[in-house]
Amino acid sequence: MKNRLTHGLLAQVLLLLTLAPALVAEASQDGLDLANKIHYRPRPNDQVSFSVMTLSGSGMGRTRELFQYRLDGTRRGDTATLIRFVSPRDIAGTGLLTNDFAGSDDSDQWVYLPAAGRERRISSDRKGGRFLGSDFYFEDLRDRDPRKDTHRILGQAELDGKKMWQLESTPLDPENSVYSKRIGWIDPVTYTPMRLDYYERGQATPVKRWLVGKIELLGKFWVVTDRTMTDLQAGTSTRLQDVRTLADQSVDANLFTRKALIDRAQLLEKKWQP
Amino acid sequence: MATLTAASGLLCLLLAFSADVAARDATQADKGSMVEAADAPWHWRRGKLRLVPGWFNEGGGTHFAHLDGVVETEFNEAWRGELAARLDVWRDNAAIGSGEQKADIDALFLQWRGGERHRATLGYQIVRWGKTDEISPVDRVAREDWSRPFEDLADRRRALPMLRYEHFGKDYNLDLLWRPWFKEAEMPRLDSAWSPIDQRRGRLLGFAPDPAMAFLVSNGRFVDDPDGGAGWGARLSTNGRGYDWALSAQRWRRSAPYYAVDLPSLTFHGRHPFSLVLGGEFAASLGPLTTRAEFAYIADEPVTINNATLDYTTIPAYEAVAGLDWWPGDKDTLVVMQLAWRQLDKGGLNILDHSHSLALTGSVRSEWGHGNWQSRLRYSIGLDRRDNYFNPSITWTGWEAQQLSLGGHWFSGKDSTPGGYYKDNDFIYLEWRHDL
Repeated sequence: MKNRLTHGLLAQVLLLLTLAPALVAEASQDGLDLANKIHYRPRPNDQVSFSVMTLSGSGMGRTRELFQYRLDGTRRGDTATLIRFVSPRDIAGTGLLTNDFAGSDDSDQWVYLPAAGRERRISSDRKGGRFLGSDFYFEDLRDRDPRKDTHRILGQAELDGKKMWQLESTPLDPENSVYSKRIGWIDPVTYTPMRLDYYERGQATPVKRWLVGKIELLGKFWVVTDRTMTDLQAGTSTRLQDVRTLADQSVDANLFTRKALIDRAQLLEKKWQP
Repeated sequence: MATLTAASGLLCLLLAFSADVAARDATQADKGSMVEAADAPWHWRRGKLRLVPGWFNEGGGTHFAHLDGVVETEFNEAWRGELAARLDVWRDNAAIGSGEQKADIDALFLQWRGGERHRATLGYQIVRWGKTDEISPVDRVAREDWSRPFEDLADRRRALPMLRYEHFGKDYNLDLLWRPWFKEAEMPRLDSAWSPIDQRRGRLLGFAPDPAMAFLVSNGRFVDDPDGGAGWGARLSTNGRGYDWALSAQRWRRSAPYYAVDLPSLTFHGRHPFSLVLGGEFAASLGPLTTRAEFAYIADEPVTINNATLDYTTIPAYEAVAGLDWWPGDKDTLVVMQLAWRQLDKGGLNILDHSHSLALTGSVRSEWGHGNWQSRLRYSIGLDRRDNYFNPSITWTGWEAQQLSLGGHWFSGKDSTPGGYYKDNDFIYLEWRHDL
């Protein structure tokens, strides 16, 4: 009897060992599929938002107001963005123009500082620097190509009473991310990451947390309009809230050129502002 | 005096606008104040107030206050106007004591836009070309401001009357400038600690101390010869994928005076020779680095011949700056390093001026404390001779639109260099800046 039991257990272990790589591969494939669905989920071809960024947790709260313009190109993955700060006054008029290209890590990025009176090319390769002293790293503000990570579905977990997919993403090349891994809570209907926990190398607990505060139906697309990044170690947080958003206005491509960036009067931008 | 009164009046008008807009901002803050303000026929764009008390290492003070403001209007889709004025107040008592206040116009122009491709601007305006920091060989369009020679490069430029046409093509931009008349650089008063002429010590900035020269400088008369003369400039630039470049040609008078001595009358004449300047600029992103470079050929650079009569002439010169921006460890510190080179083509002449120089310039900037603190070190280190300058500072930016800084300026070097000339002018300063 004991012998039969041992043989049965051994057979199951052998079967598991044989099937394990296939199961892992399947889980990994499912993970990649889910990551692709997140990355390529439908979104407006162009979007313009008036946003308020609020920094809290380190003395006095600070607020920045900005316009964000985005236009997707004809090739999937080609995206142009322009960010223009309108307040506070010490950074008002500062502009950041970025051109991302499909299938390429290299983007073009220029910053315009009104006091300097000329634009300046900057490296788009920054990942770990803080965007205007906030809790957002530059990496957090960019779309990350799913092919840069391995993905694994951890299962389902609840967030605010709603069941979500839990997806773990680990960089294939540790050098191309600030983080050692990210665990996301993914809405199974909209494929939107509603919460992201960020881990750094050597840390067993997350160091930062992204939490969606509001997701809205804009035309036929679900768009995140309120999100907060919290530095769990420092206890500081940054909320980025889109107060007004317009989508699919057929925004002029000239908005994403040097001319628009250096235009102190921002006349072209005013045409499309919400 | 009339200019001072007019510009002061203009500044008062601008500040009234500022106060009006600020009041509206308070009631419309939740809507995005700047956006609402922009709907007014004339609206305030920005301005700033700087109060900078400074104390020399060797005793005495060098204090500075600055106020500026810009308003603009849009008549219709094609036409807009801009008005900007400034007021500067200096007080320094390093040696013999001096004080001065001056108002000036930063912008007074009318602008026309022809669709997305054309733009023309007529009036007082500041135009800046070039891609490098601190020293920019191509940036010779605007009038130079030498009143505080250690300020950031952007703060060392003043407006000039110009007609400017810009063409924005699909892949390139064309910038054409015409200057109807000449206006000399803004210079510190003769008795200021920052004057390039030191009659007390008998020194001229850029020349080695010499007993004969000391006699001439101490006993000479200094006059400026800002002769008239139109000028022009053209620049073709492109912002491409991975790199930017620009080529330019300009011909106008040099705005900063070069002092040529007339021995019989014991008079130094501030000369502003016409010169053709051909320039090239380049910038590229290479992974985490951004590289920048500029080159300029200056056809007529003024020099003094080392002969019995100290004759004045002009010779060709070459200037180049190449540098890179780097974020060490991909964190919040930016390191800018630039190599600046200058060579005069003496052509066998024996001249008193330095015929070449090589320096490392740049800055190191950090931000921390949730963006509430910034530190910065600007530097210039002579590589071919001792000529050093350091400007460390620490700034609290925790109050919206305000900055409070503590910093210092240190100069050292051989007597014939700028670092050596200003070596007794080391000072520390406090700065309160309020953006209006």
